[in-house]
Order: sequence, then structure tokens, then C-alpha cells
Amino acid sequence: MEKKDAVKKNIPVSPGGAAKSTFKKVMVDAVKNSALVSKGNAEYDPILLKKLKSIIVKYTEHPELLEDIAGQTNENFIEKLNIDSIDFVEIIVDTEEMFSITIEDEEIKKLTNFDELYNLIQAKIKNKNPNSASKA
Amino acid sequence: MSGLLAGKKGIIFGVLNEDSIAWKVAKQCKEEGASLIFTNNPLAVRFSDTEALAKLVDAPIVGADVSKDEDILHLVDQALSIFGGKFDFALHSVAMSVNIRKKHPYHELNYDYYHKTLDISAVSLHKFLQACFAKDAINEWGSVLALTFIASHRIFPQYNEMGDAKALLEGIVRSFGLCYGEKKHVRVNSISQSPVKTTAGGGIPGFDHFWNFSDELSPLGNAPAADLAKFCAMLFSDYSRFVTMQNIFHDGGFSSTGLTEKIISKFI
Repeated sequence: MEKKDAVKKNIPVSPGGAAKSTFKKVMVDAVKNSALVSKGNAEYDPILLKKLKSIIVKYTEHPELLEDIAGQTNENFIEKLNIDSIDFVEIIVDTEEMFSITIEDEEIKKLTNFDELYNLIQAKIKNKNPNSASKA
Repeated sequence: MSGLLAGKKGIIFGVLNEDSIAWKVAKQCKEEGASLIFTNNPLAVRFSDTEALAKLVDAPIVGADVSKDEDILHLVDQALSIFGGKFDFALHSVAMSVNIRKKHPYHELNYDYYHKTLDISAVSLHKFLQACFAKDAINEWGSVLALTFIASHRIFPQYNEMGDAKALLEGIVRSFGLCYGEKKHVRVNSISQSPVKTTAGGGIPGFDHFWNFSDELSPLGNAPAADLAKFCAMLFSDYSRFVTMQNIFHDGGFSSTGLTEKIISKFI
């Protein structure tokens, strides 16, 4: 849903309706634990990667740190980017808008690093377009 | 229906979770017989407890990003539609400091962030009041409250640019209080509250230490949020019709105290 549309309607409510007071901690931990690359995911779709970088770069004062993502697994990488939990949810929503997908709150809770976010987006794009492989 | 606010209708900004000051005010207003609408940034609503809490007080939610003029205009239009006419009160409990989030000290502010902080934390009140004024949305003798903090007067280093934002907020309260008082007898006041342990407060570095300091410098101790909620209900009610353009300290006496035995004993 586009941000502007959310304003026009009674706000979209995350499924489940359960209290999300623990969600903040999950998001903060996810941001702290997130690395923009993982040794386990050697191949990235360059177009998808570029689009994700274009989203994240809006929320960091250190865009130069996004230049050479591949191979970096510095645990303090996100802290160096100085992205907080508010930035994180903005990144999630921007990602949804860019790729016309919906990321459920339960899926967000499970995200612990960049690879998982990348893989989730790639899978959702593929599900939308089953005949085109990981077309961002 | 009984209660101080029986038959009155109001908008509550800023309910995020159970710790929110706005939530405690909303609960109290509901107990006093008011009908409510909640509003918050759509992203905040999605990723917080706003929706669950709104259900507890039968409050519809109207999303509004207060940095967007069109969202505020839409909020007022929606409130008029939902309430079936004018409303009686509103609580402005909205603040955000981007420079604090990005760890910029006061002498190294990013001015784009500064503008955003002032816009969200202070100018948003003017935008809301201006929209209400233009649409004649608030009943005669209505009441608008904004939450502020003494850091607008006295400087606490870690409060950073928010001190400036609160100073601007309090100025808007006075200036618009004049306009709206003359036109519709609508009161506009700010409440300078003791520090409260909320999600927002937790974003201030060293908050817990400051809370303790404030508690020991306040003869009555820090004012709890639950008591603030009752005070807000009274200020929304007809019991305070001639109080306007004021910055009212609800702070256990902190603002008038130079020293207490508890504080001085730490130096002996």
C-alpha cells in the first residue's frame, strides 16, 4: 500500500492484532545484527541490489559504506550506518512500495540480517512473476 | 452519560503504546465520557500498539503525517465527518528529533534534520490549529493542549534541539491562543510535564539519571503520567474555560525549586 493511500483510509492494521510492544526490541536487534552482505549469499541480482541500496542510502549519513557491499560482514556495519528502528521501518515500507509487495509483520520479525531481507524480497518478487526469475 | 467530558469529542495525537502519555490521557478522557479519535503517523500505527489501544476506547484511527499539510487538512475533515460535526478538544503529543536519532550534538546540527524536528514537534501544532480555524472545526469554548517540557526555558544538554522545538511550540500556543480565543473562545495551552518514561523519553541519552535528578529536585516528586491525564481532562472540561495562552507546569514543583535537601546532601 502506498504511504499516501494509508492516509486516506483507516490505517492498515497488521494481521493478528497482537500487541507489538516487543516488536521494537526485535527490530532494533535486527538492525544491530544486520549486515549488508553475507558470506553465505555469494550471488546477488545486481538490479535488485542496486534498488535496495537506493532505498537504504536515504537513511544513512554514510552512503560510501554502501559502495562495496560484497564480502563485508562487519557486525558493526549497521551501527556505522547509524540506522535506527524508525529508519528500519521506513526502509521496509519503501521496499514494499518499490517492489509492489507486502511484507507481513511476522515476516519482518524474522529478519535478522540483510541476506534474509534480500531473499525475502526476491522470493516475493518471484511469486508475483513466476515466469521471470528474480526480476527486480 | 456522566463525567467531566460527557458529550465532548476530541482528537488525541501520539498514542503509540501503553507507556504513551497520550494513551493515559485518552483513557482518562474516555472514562470522563468523551468520544475520541486517535491520530498518528501511519507508519507508527502499523508498527505499534495504536490499533489495539484504540479498540479499548472505541476510537477510530485517522492516519496523518504531520509533516504533510494535506494530511492535517484530511485529518480535520475526517474528524468532522466521523464526529458528525465540530469537536471540542485536542491533545498535541507529537515530537521527534532527527538530530538526536542521528547522534548530532547541538553544536553540530544538520539543518535539514533541524527543520524536520521543528516541523514535526512544533509547527505541526500551528498547522492543526490553522486547519481547525479555517474549517471552524472546534466548538465554542473548546480546548487544545500541547505537551511540552521545561527544557524550553532551562537548558539540559542531552535534550538537544528539542529544547528549541518546545520553545517554538510554547510560542505557537500563545500566539494562536490569541487568535482562537478572540474568534471562538477556544483555549490553547501547553503543559510542561515532569519527565515521563516513554518510548520518546528513552531516546534521550542519560534519561534515567535525569529522571532521578528531577524526582529529587521536585518537592512532590515527578508528576506521574496518570495524574497528568486527570489534569488534561480538567483542562479539556468546562472547569477551566478562562485558562488560555498559558504554559502550565505540572511538575511536582521542579520549575520553582532551586535546591532540596536530597540534592545538597549528595555534596556533603
